[in-house]
Amino acid sequence: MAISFEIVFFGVFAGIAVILAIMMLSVKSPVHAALCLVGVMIMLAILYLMLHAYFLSVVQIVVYAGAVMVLFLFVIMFFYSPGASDPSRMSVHFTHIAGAIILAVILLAVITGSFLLSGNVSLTEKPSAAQMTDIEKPIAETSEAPLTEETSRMIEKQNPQLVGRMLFTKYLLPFELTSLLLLAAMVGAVVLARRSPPAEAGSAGGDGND
Amino acid sequence: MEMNLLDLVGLAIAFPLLGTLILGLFGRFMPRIAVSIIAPATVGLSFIIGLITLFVYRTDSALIGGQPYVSYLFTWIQSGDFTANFSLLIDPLSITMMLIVTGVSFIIHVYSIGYMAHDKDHARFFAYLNLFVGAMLILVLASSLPVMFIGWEGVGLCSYLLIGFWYEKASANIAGMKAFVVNRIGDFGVLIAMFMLFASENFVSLEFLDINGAARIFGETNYNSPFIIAVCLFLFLGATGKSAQIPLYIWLPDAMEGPTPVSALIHAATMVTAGVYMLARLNVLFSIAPTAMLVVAVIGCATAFFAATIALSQVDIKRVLAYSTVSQLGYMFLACGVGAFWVGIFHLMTHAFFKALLFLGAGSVIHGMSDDQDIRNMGGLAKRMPVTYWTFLVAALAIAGVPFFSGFFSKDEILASTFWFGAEFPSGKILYVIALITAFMTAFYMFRLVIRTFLGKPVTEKAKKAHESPRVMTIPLIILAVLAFVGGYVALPHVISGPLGYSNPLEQFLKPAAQTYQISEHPVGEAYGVASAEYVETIEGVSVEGEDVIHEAAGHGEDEAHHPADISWYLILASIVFAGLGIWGAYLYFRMTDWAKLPALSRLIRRLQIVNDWSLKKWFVDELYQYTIVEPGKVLAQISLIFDQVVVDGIVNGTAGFFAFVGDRIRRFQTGIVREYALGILLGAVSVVIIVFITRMVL
Amino acid sequence: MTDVPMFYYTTLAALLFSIGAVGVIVKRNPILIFMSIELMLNAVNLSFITYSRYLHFLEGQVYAFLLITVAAAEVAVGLAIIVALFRSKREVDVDAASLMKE
Repeated sequence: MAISFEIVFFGVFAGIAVILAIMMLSVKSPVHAALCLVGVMIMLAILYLMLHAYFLSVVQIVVYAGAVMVLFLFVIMFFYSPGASDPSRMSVHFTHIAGAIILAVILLAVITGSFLLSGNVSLTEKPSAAQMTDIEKPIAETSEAPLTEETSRMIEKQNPQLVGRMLFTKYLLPFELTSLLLLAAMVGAVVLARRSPPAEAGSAGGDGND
Repeated sequence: MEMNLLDLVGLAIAFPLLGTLILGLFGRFMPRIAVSIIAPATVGLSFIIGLITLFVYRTDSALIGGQPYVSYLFTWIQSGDFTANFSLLIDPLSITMMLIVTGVSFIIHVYSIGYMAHDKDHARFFAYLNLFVGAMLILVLASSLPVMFIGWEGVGLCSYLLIGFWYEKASANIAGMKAFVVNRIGDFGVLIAMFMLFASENFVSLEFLDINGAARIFGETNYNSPFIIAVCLFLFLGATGKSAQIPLYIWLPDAMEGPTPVSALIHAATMVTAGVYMLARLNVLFSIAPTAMLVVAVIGCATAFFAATIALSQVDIKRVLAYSTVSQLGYMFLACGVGAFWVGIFHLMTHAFFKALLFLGAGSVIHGMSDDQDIRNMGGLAKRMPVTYWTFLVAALAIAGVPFFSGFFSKDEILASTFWFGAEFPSGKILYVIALITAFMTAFYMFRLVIRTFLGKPVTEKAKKAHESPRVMTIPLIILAVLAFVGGYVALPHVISGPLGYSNPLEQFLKPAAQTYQISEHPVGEAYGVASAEYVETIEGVSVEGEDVIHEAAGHGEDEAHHPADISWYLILASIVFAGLGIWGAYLYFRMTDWAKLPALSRLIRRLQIVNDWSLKKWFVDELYQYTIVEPGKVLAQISLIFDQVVVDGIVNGTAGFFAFVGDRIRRFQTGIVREYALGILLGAVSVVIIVFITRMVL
Repeated sequence: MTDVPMFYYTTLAALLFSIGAVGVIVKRNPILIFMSIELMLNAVNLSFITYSRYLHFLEGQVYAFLLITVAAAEVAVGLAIIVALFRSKREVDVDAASLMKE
């Protein structure tokens, strides 16, 4: 089979993502590391587009690459002067890195293995009979009509609508619960990051764990 | 379900409990007079509701002939297929009990105003007393075993609280605990029985009506089966605890440490009769287990006899009455055991009147004697306390079984029932003989008490200075005296009532609810003349009592077929003779000053002295329990202590030491370095996945 | 219709996840640890979306969406903890957060 346009695309973006991820761990400055992570996320957003997850692609850029990473950078800037290297990085020993790489390989093998074991599906092929039972069921739950070429295309085109509808109908309760989670996180963050009262700060060296 | 006036009965429980709430929470801040009004008023209201209930019940055309009415209040427990409704059962038995409880309680409440007039804690006293009435009403009105058990435990609690009411007194505290612990043993029996019934497939629910109904069906195939016998005996164990029967009677005499109105109300008139009530309530269940019934009869008879022998020699006025109570309760169980449940309830009622009166009279005496309870210090109180004397005398005559007094009729019914039981069941004659001797002893010890307390000359200065109690105490005495006199006329013996064309209202009223149920192939109950009518069917033709006299008389004629009238007369004569002998004996023994005139009797009495000593020591039962149960228990406890210290503590300390050691080693894994923890998580996750791989491949 | 086999995507997800996991273990700077965790979460998201696409199972995207929310909440709290840690220890090193006896 000739190498298609999509595969090239995938190879480029996936490769950039992996390289950036590795760089994130190897650069000295936390700021650079954060920028690498932003890069990874943007690459992933592009891959989401390729997977027809348009809505999530946008969310990925807005929430992750935007809000979350800005928060990261904000905190980094709060602690380090720009350009300074990570002070703790020096103590990482070579053997540690070697061990880490071995671990990463094992992990990779295990995860890939588990993915492989749970089956591979190609969009061009019909699912095999063995996979049918596992796969058909969720589809039946998801869409009203049985999956045809047409509905498949419709899912691609109307992705945001479909995800939105799902979020506000079947998954309304989890969706609402996330708002509660965010509220709790907000309160927690405020409580944790708040400066201790002066009296306590004086005695306990500003213990912030209250 | 549409409302029925009978649903008002829930209020009868609510009023005393409300009283408890008010007095318990605010009683201390209320003026004495307010407490004195609220406490009896709540019970009085309950009594009025009881009367209304009786009236409505008797006039409700749907309930003619003893049909039960269930007043549903709320669902108490709902768990799986088990449902316990808090509902009240209204039938002749519960109405009778309700009237006895509220009526006697009301009188005793009024009396207590005077008796507790100088006690600083009177609000607490009345709060407990009201709580007791509430709990007792739950007990007698409950429509199911679990709900009855609330009341059962509730009255036990009140008993404990009130025995130990004067908590500064160590003996009162100990007596309270003794009562509580002994009762626990009995309660365990009730619980076991309840669990057994619940676990049994043949009993669908723990509602009394269902239990009796199921027992009726179950009895056809499993008459006198071990299961039923076990259930009945466990229930009876509970009854022996609550109603102070052998072997669990030992708490009642000590319970006299409580204030006298408490002794009168709880430990004579109401609570201790709960066991009898329970037996009557589960009449069908017991009826299909004749073996258990026989045990009940034998235990009841033995208790009656045994307690009477102890009562012969006690010198504490309240203890005499306490043993007398145990003895009379034995009579009631005897009646139930021989199948005459309604007679048991009848005696329960008359006993409630005369024993409450005796206790209140004793309280009056104690009051007048400045808290001296020893009858050896009394004498000649009749002149100083005339009202107390005369009312006490009425009660004594009643309990002794002197004709025309209430106790005579109820005790005679018991003796007659026992006799007819003996006619059917040969060795049952022994029961009759013992019961008759007990009747003699009852008369003897009661008149010993009367003579030593009220007659003769004052022995001590205190007795000389004794004074009559205030009117708030004497009026209840008079009321109870009237009841103790006339109480028996609600159920005259057939040989008397029959020819007079006069019905036996109580029997007719109670019979549908409390009779021996008979299995057709097993006509065991016939000997004591109980018609084998179904619970719900009742005696035919009975519409409203008192209006249909002739028909009822005809009904009696049927019953009388089993009871030759002449034998009935002999039986009555026998009980009169034995009662008379008892009184005469007491007179001889205690009034006869010139012993020389009766040398033979004197010698006999001297020989009896050892009996007297043993009797005074209560046959050393407390000591027996002390050395057979308590002391071995202590030794066992000592062994257990050593075992505990060496083995159990050794195991515990060893275990702790082991884990301390292991923990110290494992602690080193807990470095506090987050990254190592993360590594641990990761390795764990990877190994889980690998394990899943392996198992997948293997399978 | 894409020709990219699903296996490619899942392998990418596995790679990113492994890199993130190594980062969590190796790094001592809590901020970087957090970044690594975010990377791992993103890898999971990728696999969700991949399966969603290949199995026509739209729920995958919903889960991914919820996961992003959770990640955002986690970052907020986590960074607040880092700030508090920094205040009490005056340095940014997770190993220094240990209060255990040596």
